[in-house]
Amino acid sequence: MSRETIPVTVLSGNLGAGKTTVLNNLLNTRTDLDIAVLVNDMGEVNVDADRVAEHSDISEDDEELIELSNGCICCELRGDLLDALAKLARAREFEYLVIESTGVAEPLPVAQTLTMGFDQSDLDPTEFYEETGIEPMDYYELDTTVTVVDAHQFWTTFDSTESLMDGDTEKDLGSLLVEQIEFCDVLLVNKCDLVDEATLNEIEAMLEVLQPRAEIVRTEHGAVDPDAILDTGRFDFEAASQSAGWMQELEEPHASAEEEHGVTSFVFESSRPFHPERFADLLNELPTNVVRSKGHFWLAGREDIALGIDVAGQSIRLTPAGRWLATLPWDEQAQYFEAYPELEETWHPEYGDRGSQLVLIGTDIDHDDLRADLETATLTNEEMDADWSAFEDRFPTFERPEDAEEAADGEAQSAESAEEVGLAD
Amino acid sequence: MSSPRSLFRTVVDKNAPRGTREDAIDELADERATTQLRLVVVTSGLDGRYRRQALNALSRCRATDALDKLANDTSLAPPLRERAQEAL
Repeated sequence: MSRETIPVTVLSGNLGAGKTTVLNNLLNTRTDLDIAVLVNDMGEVNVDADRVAEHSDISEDDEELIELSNGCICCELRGDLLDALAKLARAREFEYLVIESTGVAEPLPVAQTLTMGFDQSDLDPTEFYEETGIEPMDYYELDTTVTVVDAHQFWTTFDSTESLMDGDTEKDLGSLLVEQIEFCDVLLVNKCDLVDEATLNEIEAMLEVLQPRAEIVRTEHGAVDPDAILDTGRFDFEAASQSAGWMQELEEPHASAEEEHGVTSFVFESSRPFHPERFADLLNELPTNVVRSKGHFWLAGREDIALGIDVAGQSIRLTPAGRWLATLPWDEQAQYFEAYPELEETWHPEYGDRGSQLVLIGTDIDHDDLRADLETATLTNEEMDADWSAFEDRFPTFERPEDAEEAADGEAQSAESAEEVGLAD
Repeated sequence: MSSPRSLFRTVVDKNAPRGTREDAIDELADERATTQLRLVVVTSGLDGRYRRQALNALSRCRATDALDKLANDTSLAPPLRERAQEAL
């Protein structure tokens, strides 16, 4: 292999999915290729790096194995990751780089760091970068992002209410799994020997809906054909960022009730607001077979902003999703009408662009029932004429951080702490 | 030279090449078209790259009124709001 930049494969996946086993197998299979490895571990002791050193021929002594410990390369160690890559490129020649992320790493920010480097990203320059001026991404090229999925724990992870700490951030296991699936080029379904064929088919059907672009490869004991994850040339940041199944569904909505193995999706749209009490109740009792939902909605009593919803497994996350265009001054609205002429078609004379659009993905979901439940959670004709401020609204508010701090002495809760919600209380 | 309104249309045009869209933001900054830059920042669904670039452009223009509006806009994603606050 002779090229100007060194291709990079990034391995992601939940804790215990088998990333290190895949890596060790790879190193023992492609002994002809000069591979350098960077292993990231949240702990002070980099157990995964030790396992790589123990089970393969590469070693830290020869600067083939780099450890980044005590943090995660998707957040606080992003600068350290780039520094490590720059030092590695300066220290020795090699043909390929494999990065093993921590189990809590989100692939998107890692890919962003490896695509943009210091020059184009918003990272603060490190001391090493300022001293040397080396832009590491001049030497590397992200080639393939791989997510290793544990077939045996797949459905359990979605149903799990367990969360892990990534620095100061609490991450729900199911939500993390979805993020790792939705941003990758190759999905390795590992531990296939531990589940039956029917379960594997169900898992694959779900993966295909969540991430239609990725190549799905079944593996046992992490044994993968190196050609499936090395030098594939599959990585494309734009394509990867836009490839999640829910995005495709919003672009081209279709009720995929005919899909195999009971995995289906549909888009719910309404030009009426949700009733805050009924919609909160519905979210609390959302069937567990709804694995993924994403979109924005209009909540009665919140006439200024749209709320974003992100359901992954048992986690429901709500965020501010922007101001309704109908609340903008007329001259600003006019610029949107010029830019998006199709707005005219859906613009309501009284409510403007307010409305809801949710994608729902799940297994064996009854579309008609769920759609009827969602319809019931919107306002009735009588309620449309009622005083919306009288409804009990348990959804989080999104205050300015300083306002939230001031309110902390009282009973109010801050926007950031309220993002991950349980609406029952 | 394009008008700020047509530059705004270019920035939000998903069919326009990335470089063209980024150039349009730079031109908006050159024109000190702070209203259009602010609209780019608040446009939901627009790639975060363009929204951040527009925020940086507002910072370069020292557009304190626009940045103040963004910092106080509770409909905006917290990271963008925080960045607007930092730029003030």
